[in-house]
Amino acid sequence: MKTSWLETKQLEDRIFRKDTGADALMMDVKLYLSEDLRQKLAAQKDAYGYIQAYGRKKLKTEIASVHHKLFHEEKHNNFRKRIRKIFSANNKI
Amino acid sequence: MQNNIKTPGEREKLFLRLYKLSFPDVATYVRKRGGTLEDARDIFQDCLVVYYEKAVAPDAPAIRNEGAYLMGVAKKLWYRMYAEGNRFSEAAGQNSISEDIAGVSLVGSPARENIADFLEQAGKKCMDMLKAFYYDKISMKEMAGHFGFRSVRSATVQKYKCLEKVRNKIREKSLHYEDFMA
Repeated sequence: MKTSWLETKQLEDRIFRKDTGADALMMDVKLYLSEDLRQKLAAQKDAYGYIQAYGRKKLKTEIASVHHKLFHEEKHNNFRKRIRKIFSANNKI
Repeated sequence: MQNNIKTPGEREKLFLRLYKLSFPDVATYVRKRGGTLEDARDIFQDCLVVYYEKAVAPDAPAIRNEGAYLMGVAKKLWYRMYAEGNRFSEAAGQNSISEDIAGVSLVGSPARENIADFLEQAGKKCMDMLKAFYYDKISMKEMAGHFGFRSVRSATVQKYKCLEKVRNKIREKSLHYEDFMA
C-alpha cells in the first residue's frame, strides 16, 4: 500500500516538474515501459483539473451565500437600496 | 497569502467587504452598458473568484488596490461575455488581468455541476482535503490541524491516497476533463 501513494507522489512530481536527476531518469524509464503507468499519469493530470473545478464550485457557493445575505438581511438594507437605485427605471442609462 | 482567508468564516468577511467596496461601481458600469442586475451579479461573483485565486497563489504579487483590480477584472469579463454572445467583438487583451481570468467562466455552467457531482462520489472528506491543498493552497501543517491528523506525515499520506482514489475513478470511467467541457 505504501508503494501506491509513493507512486502517486512520483507522478505528481513529474506533472509539476519537481523530479530531477536519478528520480526523473527512473520515471522516464518506468513510463517508457508501462502503458498502465502512462494511463495513470494522464488520469492524474485530469484529476488536478477536476479538483480546481470542484474548488471553484464550492467557492462560488460561498460567494452566492454572501450575495443572498446582502440582498435579504435587514442590516444590509442601505446597501441593497443603493444597488436597486442603480437599476431603477428612473435611473436612465 | 495577502488576506487571512483560510476558513469559510474568514472568506465570508472578505467577500462582504469586497462586495460593499466594489459591487456598486461594477453594477453602475454594467447598467451603463445595458446590463441587468443579474449580469452584474454574475460578473462580480466571477471577479471574486479571480481575486481569490490571485490572493492565495503562492508567488503572486499582492493586490495593492482592490477596487481598481476588481473593476479591471469586471471590464474584461463584461467584454468577454459580450464576445461569447456574439453581440460585441473585443479582444480581452494581453495583460496580467487577462491571465488571471483565463479559465474562469460565468456562473451556471452545467459542465461544472457535472464535474462536482462526479468528484463528490470519491468522498466528500477526500475532495475537501484535496481542495484545501490544491485550490485553497493551505499548507500541509495547517491541513493536518484542520482535518484532525496527528502529524503532517499522516495528512500527506492521506492526501496522496485521496488523489489516487480520484485518479482511479477517472480511469475507471474513462472520463477526461474535456468530456465535461464539451
